[in-house]
Amino acid sequence: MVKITAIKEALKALFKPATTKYPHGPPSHVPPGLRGLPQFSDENCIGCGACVVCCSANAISMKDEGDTRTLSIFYPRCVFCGRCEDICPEDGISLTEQFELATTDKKNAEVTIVFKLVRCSQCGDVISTRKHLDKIKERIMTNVDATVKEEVVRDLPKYETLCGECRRKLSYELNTHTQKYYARRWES
Amino acid sequence: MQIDKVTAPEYVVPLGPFHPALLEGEYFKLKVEGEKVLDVDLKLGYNYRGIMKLAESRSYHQNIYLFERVCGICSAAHTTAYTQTAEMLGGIELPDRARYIRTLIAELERIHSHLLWAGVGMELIGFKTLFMLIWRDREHVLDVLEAISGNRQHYAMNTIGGVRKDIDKDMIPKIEEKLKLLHKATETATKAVLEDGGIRARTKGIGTLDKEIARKICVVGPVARATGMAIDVRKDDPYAAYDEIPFDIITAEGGDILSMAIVRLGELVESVKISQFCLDKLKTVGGPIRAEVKEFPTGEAVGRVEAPRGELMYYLVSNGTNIPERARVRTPSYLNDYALLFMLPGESLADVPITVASVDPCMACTDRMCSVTDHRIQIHKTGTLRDLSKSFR
Amino acid sequence: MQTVFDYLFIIALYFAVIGLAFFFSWGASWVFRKLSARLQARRGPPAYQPIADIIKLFGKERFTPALSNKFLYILSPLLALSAILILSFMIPPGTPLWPGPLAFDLIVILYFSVMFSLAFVIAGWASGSTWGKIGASREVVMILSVELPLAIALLIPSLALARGGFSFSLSITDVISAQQGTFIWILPNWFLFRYPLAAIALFLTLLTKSWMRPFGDIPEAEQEIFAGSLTEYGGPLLGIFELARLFRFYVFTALFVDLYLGGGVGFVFPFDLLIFLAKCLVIVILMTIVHVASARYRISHVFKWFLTVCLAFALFSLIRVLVGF
Ligand code: SF4
Ligand code: SF4
Repeated sequence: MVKITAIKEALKALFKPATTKYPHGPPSHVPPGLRGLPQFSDENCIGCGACVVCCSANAISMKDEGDTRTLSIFYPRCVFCGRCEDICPEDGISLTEQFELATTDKKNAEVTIVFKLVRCSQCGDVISTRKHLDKIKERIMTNVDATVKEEVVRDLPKYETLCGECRRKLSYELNTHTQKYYARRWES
Repeated sequence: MQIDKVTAPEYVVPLGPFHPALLEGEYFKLKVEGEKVLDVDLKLGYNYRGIMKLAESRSYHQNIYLFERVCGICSAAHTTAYTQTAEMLGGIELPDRARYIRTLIAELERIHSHLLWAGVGMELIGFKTLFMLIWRDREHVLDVLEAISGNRQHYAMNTIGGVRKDIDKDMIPKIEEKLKLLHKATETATKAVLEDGGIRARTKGIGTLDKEIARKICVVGPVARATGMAIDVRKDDPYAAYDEIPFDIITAEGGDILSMAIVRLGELVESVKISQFCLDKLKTVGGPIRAEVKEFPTGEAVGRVEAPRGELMYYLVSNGTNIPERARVRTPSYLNDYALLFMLPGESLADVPITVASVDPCMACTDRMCSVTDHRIQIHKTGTLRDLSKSFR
Repeated sequence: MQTVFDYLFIIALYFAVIGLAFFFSWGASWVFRKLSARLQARRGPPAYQPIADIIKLFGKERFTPALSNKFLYILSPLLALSAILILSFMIPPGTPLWPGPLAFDLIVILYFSVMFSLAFVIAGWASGSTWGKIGASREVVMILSVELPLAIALLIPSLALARGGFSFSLSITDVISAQQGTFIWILPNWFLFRYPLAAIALFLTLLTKSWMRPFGDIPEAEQEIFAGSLTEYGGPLLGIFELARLFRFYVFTALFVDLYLGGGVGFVFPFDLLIFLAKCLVIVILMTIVHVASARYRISHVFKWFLTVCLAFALFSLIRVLVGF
């Protein structure tokens, strides 16, 4: 019946409670880098929808309505894996250190971000968000080959407002088919 | 006057599916006479979640986080096994640094799991104080894991081809400090558990698993090591960085609850040592932590790791797409749970909870298949959830 | 000449002592919970918690399980409560001047303490659940093994009275007043110092009777058999049981303090009462520490411990009393 160690440890613990009054007081600590609620960044997110595809719990959903696109994280589904953060091309989503997420209303359990949508001027199909297209344009402008830059700048407004399908259909009409570049390259 | 031998009435005691001693839904049908258990029947399946089926509809990367959730306690073991199998499929070599980080996480997880087990075991024999104190010390390892990975339980560290987060140089001394605390805590826990007369009276010679039976029903992990079999995947089929790390396999003779406790408490100390070794390596070994993943060609692969509860096996079939054709999980509890059928008969009812806990069962891990019994004609049948829901509507 | 007012006075005194017992038990229960929480590195509940738990139970729905014996199911909590209430005013609060109701206090106390335990046996059997029955059978084993050393240890002080120059008496007040003065050197003339082994035996039995580990919580071992006898109880009936169980903090500690620690002897009112309560609190704290520092034994161990070690202690002291050394 020797239980010296247990009693000794118990007496040592007498004035050092390991628990805190957490729900009534502050939590003991929140470590830096805690994986908490994912949040969109209003500045960076372009609404491309890559995170929707890769989310490991299908917590992020995308809805196109009228001329807005709504991306929303239904966080009761979220498993806080951080994969959306990994995959996002623009740092548009990141896990915050927020972890007190309980709510009594299911409607509140969502983080949303709304974008302006661009629709095809010909058929009315969704192309993408305004921001996404602007980003693409910006990238093209900075990365495009200097030899064709002039032509691209000329052609862009022609197909800017067309969806992929219509662009393909109308490419000869508008003289935007990429073949011309190849043709030129073969010539030279 | 002659007194007839008095026999207590035999009756069936339902232990579970919901019972304060069992942390998860499972059902033990105990035939008892007085307080003595005569016969046991075990029924699982209360936690069926259809994870393996679900895995066949998600991409390889999404599946990491799905399999992480097979078990909350050995989440890193599951992802290690899964990513290892997927790496085999894709022919991916792990970078050095990733191997050490993986090993470190696996060992820290083993510490947390074994401390959890020790605490639960103490609670089941009514020693609330040691339970609380052991769990208080377990917070140290959870703090370390939280600091490294950002979460206490689901670390989300492993990914196919490496690990997702690096361990900073300035974080290492802090982890070492915590490891020292842990080392002290494990030593006091071991001392407190082994010297106490009450604990000894409740665990020595109780729930004995015979070595021959153990071999026959293929128990794995600490349960097997407690019966004297020195099997350990970390030594027998080294993965991650275990091939270069020196450590001992802890075994004990007897197969009773006390020897299972001795094995697990001994492994705690070993795990602290292995973690220290990994930290030392991390100080010097640099390089990337993640290899590039290209594709998963058609084929199949089997990977196994030593989870805290024993050998964990994953089987994957690839059909060349980014979604596995088939994923199969064989958890250690699946084997160890059935040891209970041999351990329980003959014990007293008071010892049933601690005996059940001694194999460290993880029921949620085990429920892989839906079995439905038609009670009138006694037929077991298995099938997909969809078909079953149709036929029982 | 005793008038009606004397009787009324005595009845009022009894009620006062039940009130005292209630408030002391409340406080002691809180000390027990807080101290065991602190020893387990937790924070523990606020002071109103023990009573809040019981009040909450009274606010809940009353029901009787379909399989139960309705009459006994309702009777047994009342039995437990009345037994413990009678016990709590039969045990004088530390003063030898207590107007004891009977000359055979100790025997009656023994009776009612068994009755208190029997109420739990009845509750277990009446509730008709397997767990209740297992709890009841464990409770019976407890009674069988605990009551014998308890009886001997209770009677030793009163038997010892004859040795100390007093006349033999079964009344606790006489036992208290016999503990005046000093024993050797500065040690007070308590039975604790005169018959230490019997005191240990009594401490262990009372510990067990007040549901403290290592043995006491076997009949209601949560991890094994839910709540044992009380598994099927809920609502106000469970509240009555819990109220009855609350009084254990007063009754069993007071018994020990009166018999072996001299109650509040040697002080004038109200200091004797305070000294008595302080001693009771010390016993509660001691019990808490034992409770916290031990694992729960098996029911077979109870038999072994109480009918060998504990009984041997008690019997040895009994022989000492009878033979006189
Ligand atoms: S920018 Fe990032 S966060 Fe925004 S939609 Fe694309 S992937 Fe998601
Ligand atoms: S953290 Fe994981 S589960 Fe949550 S939204 Fe991002 S990818 Fe989805």
